[in-house]
Amino acid sequence: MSYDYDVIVVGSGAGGGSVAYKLTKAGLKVALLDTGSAYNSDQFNRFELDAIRKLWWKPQWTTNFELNGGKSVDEINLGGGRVVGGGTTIFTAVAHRAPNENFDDWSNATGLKNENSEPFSYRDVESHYDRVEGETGVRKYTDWDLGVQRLKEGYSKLGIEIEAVNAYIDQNCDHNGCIFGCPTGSKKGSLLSYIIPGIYDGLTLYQNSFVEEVLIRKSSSGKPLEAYGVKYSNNGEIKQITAKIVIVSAGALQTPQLLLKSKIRELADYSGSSMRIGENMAVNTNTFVFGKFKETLNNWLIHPLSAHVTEFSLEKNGGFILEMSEIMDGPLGFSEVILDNDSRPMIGKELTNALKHYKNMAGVLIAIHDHNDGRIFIDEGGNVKYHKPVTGSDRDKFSRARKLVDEAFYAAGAEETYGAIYISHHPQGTCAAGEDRNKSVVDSNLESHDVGRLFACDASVFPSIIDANPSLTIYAMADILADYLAKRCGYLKPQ
Amino acid sequence: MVTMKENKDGAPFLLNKEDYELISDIAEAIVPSGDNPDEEPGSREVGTINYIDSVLLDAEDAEMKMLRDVLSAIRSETRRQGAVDFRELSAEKKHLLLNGLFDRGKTKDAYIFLRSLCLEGFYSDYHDPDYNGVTAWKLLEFGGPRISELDKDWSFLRIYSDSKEKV
Repeated sequence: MSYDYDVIVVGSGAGGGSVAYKLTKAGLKVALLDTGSAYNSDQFNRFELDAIRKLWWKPQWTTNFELNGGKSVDEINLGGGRVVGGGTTIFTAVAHRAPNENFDDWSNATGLKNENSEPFSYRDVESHYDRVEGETGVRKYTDWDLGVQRLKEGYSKLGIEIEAVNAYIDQNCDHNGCIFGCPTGSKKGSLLSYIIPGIYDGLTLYQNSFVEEVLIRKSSSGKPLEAYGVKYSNNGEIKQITAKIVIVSAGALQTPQLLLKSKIRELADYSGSSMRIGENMAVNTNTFVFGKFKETLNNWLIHPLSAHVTEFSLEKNGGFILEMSEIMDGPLGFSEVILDNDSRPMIGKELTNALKHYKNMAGVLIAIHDHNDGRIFIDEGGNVKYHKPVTGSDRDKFSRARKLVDEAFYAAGAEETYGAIYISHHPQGTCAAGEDRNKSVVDSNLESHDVGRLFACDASVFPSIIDANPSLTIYAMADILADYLAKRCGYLKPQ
Repeated sequence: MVTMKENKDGAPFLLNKEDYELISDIAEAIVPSGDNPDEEPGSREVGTINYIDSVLLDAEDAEMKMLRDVLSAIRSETRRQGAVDFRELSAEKKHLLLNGLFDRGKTKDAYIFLRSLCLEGFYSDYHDPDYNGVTAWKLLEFGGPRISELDKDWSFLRIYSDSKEKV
C-alpha cells in the first residue's frame, strides 16, 4: 500500500509539535493536524473574551454529582488549548522536571520499562530533559512583579523562601499577556520551538482540522489490528489521509475521546488494555487564593506564575505546590473563579466590590498531588463525561495549603483573602503507558497494546500523577518517542 | 422595566420576551449597578442581556437545553417563594434562589453556564453599540500597555454586525 505520509500526528501541543518536528528532521514525511488555528505573535492581544473564544476549548466540568446519588459535590473545571501549539501557546510556560520519585511511581503503577527492559526511572528521561530544555530555551524567570515581591515578604516571615520558576520564556518578555497568547514571541512553546522550524524543513500543518477517527484495519502481521490514517473534518468537509504510523497527541482529555470514538474497544474485543482508555485520570487539582492589598499592584501586567514553593510537593511532605502571582490575567476570568465565604460563586454587590479591587489583588495557585482515580467516558447518549472526585485527602491538602497561603498573605499585609473554584489544566494518565496490559493502554514504546502503528504522546501516557507542571515532561517523553521511531522502530525503516 | 434592544426586525435575536426579561433580571442580580449607575454601571446599563441574546445564536443544543432547564428551575422556585416574577423578590431572596441552584447537583452546571454568560456580558468590557457610558475596564481601572487603547472587535455578535448595517 502507498501512504500519503510516513507519520500523521494528531494535536500540536508539547507532545505532538515536538515529535512532528523531530521526525521531519529525521527525513520522514510528516503531517501534523490540529483543530485550532495558527496565529502569529502580533495577532495575540489582551481582549480576554476574544482569546477565550479563539484559543481555548469550552470549559468542561466534571459531573461528580452522578457519583453521589445526584447530590451536589465539588466539581472541577477542566480547560485546555484549542490552538496550534496547544497548551504551550496559552499556558504559562513553567518548565520543571518531575521529581525522581514520580518515575519510580510510574514503573510501579504499570510496569513501564526502558529500552533495556529495566524499570523506567529518572535516569531514562534525564538526557531528554537536558535536550528539550536547550531546545526551548528554559531559563530561571526572575522578573518578579509587586505581587510576587509582597508574597516573598510574607513567606519569609513564615520561614519559607520562594524561588523563581524555570520557564521557556526568553528575555524579550515584556511581562504583559501570557495566557492569551504571547504577543512578543518570547514564550517558546511548541509553535515557535518546533512547528515553524519543522514547516521550513517540510512538515505539513493542517490547521482547523478536527480528527474524527483513527482509521484502523485488520493487520496481516504483528498485532491483529493496525492504524493506517485518520479521518478529519475541515471547513465542513470530511477527508482522510493515510500514513505508516499515527501518533495521537491531542491531550489527556481529547486523546482518549478520539480512541474511544475510533471504536478500539469494540475492535479489540474489549481487551483489558482497551478498557483502560479514559481511566486512570489525575489532574493536579488546582485552586487559587487571592489576597487584597491596599496598594495598587496591577498584577495583570506581568507574566503569571513566576515564582513557586515546592518543598511540600511530594505527598509525604504535604502534597501541594504553590505558584504565584496569578489573578487570571483579566477581570472576566477572575470573576468566573472567585468564591464567596460559603464557597459559592460570588454574585451581587460582593462580586462587584471584589472586582473593584482587582487592581489591588495578588494570587497564589495551589496545585495538589491528587490520585489517578478519575475517568473520561462517553455515555449512552454519546456525551463525553468526566468524573474526578475531590476526595477527603484532596480537601485535607487544600486545607493545609490554604492555611499556609492565608498566613503568608496576611504576613505580607493583605487585608482580606478569597478562595476560588477547583480547576485543572494538567489532566494526565488517561492512556497510561506500561507493560501490564490490564493497567495500561500503550506499551513502553507508547504504542497501543491493541492497535499496531498507533502511538500516543501527551500527558495521557503518564502512568501516575507527577508533581510538576507537565509540559516539560511531555516534551521529554516526545523526545524519547522520536528517538525510538527514527532509529529503532521497524515500521519506518526503508523496505 | 428593561428596554428591549431591538434588531432590525424589532425583536430580540433569539430569546422570547419572557426569557429576555428574566435573564436581564438575573444578570442584574449577578452584576448590579452601584448607587450611582452613571459612575458604577452594572449589567442593566451596558446591556448584558443583549450580549447574551446575540451570543446564544451560536450556542450548542446542549447549552440551550441547560439554559431552558435553569430558567425553568428559577421560575419554579420563584413561584414556590410566592412571587409571580423573579424581579419581585428581594435582593436577598434572589441571591438565595441563585445560590440554591448551585447547591443542587442537577442545576449546578446550568447555573454556572448562566452566570458565565452574565459575567461575559459585563466583565469582558461588553457594552451595547449605542452605549457611551462607563464600562467594566474603566470601572476597574483595568489598563496598561496593549489594554487601554485596545480596539475590540465585537463583530462576532449579531447586535454589532446588525448595528453597522443600520448605519
